[in-house]
Amino acid sequence: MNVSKERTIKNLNELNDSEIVELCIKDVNIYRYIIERYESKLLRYIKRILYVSQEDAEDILQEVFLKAYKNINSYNSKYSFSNWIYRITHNESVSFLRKKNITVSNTEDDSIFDRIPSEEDIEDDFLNSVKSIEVREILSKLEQKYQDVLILRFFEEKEYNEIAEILHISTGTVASLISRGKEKFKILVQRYGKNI
Amino acid sequence: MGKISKKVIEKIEKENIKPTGRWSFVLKNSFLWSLFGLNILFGSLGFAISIYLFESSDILNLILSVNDLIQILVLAIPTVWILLTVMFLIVAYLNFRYTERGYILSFKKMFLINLLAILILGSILHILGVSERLNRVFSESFTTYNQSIDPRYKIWSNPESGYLAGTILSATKESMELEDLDGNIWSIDTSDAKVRRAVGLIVGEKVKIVGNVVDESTFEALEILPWEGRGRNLQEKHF
Repeated sequence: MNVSKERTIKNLNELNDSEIVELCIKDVNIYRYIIERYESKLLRYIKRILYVSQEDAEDILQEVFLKAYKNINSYNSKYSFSNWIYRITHNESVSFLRKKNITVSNTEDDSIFDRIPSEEDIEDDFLNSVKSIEVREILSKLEQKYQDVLILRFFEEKEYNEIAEILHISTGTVASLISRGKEKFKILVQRYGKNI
Repeated sequence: MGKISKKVIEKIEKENIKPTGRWSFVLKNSFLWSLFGLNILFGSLGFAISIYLFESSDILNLILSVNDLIQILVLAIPTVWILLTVMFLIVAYLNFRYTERGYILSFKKMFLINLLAILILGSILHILGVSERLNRVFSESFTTYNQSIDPRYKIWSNPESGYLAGTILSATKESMELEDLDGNIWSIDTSDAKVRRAVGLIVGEKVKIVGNVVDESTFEALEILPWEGRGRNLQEKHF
């Protein structure tokens, strides 16, 4: 019995997202494989875009999974499930912001710029520099639209077409937002006399 | 089972949450596509009527002979229909934007594609005569349509400027009696008038006349044009 159950679990873990989605429509318990596959990624993503406590992030994440389950039939298996659930997460996060009537800017304290490592070069290694906490804090000073694309690109390491699918904007718009976002990011850093 | 997955599954079971049926998403998407199609069609009809009304004002025929060209051109623009066309264009864009993959095209690309669709389909509908028929339907169905929307009523109700239109009440070789668009009766001297081929000069016919006011009820016609269409060619024989 246990062997059979273990084999089933192993088999389910080997299935791709679309296949599990098909199964969880029939059996809600299978939905936990989806949740477990994505919870840590999405929790991290929520905290990156919202600056909320662990508790708030978990509440939002629960809502994400409930909403995803209710709308599971709208998922089209021709496309990536990951992008689909990231989109729901993004929308729930935006909705959380609206409900709380807050903007994503975690600090008014400009001293964060003094903590930026100066040896890194934004032109040559934006991807690496953007990962540091200090740089992330600068990101929070940018407009939401730039934060959205830069976080997905440099923290979640999504491709342009994936970002387009998550944010429901064209890939051309993604490219220009990333480009302009990076420029604005550099200006913010230069304003405070630091190179990263 | 993880903490979050346990909570979520428990909530789903406790509240008996069921996934929304696939049909409702298919229906929503089909509805948006239908609205998109309808708005493109309405936009095209709006554009077709705009072409028809502009063309029927005969401004292009008068372009070399009028002094007040800009003023006349402004009057000839069927503003209401152009605004309606733009409105349908915007709504069509919004419909498309909210379809399942509507985000793929940028605003500029989508707007241009919709605009091209409306311009091409509108031109085809105009060539097929749909615009003329539809304009007639509006004209007959709504009492204020002609005065407020059809630019011909603004341009061709200016006898002082040389533009007069109306219905022929009687006609002879040298003159005719005409009831203008405001209901005034005019005696028209047609002895030196050039008459467009499409004009029959028969009782009950609606015509446009370029000429000069002689006195408060007499008008000297220099050119007589049909009310509908452009009647490009002149009759060989002058009255």
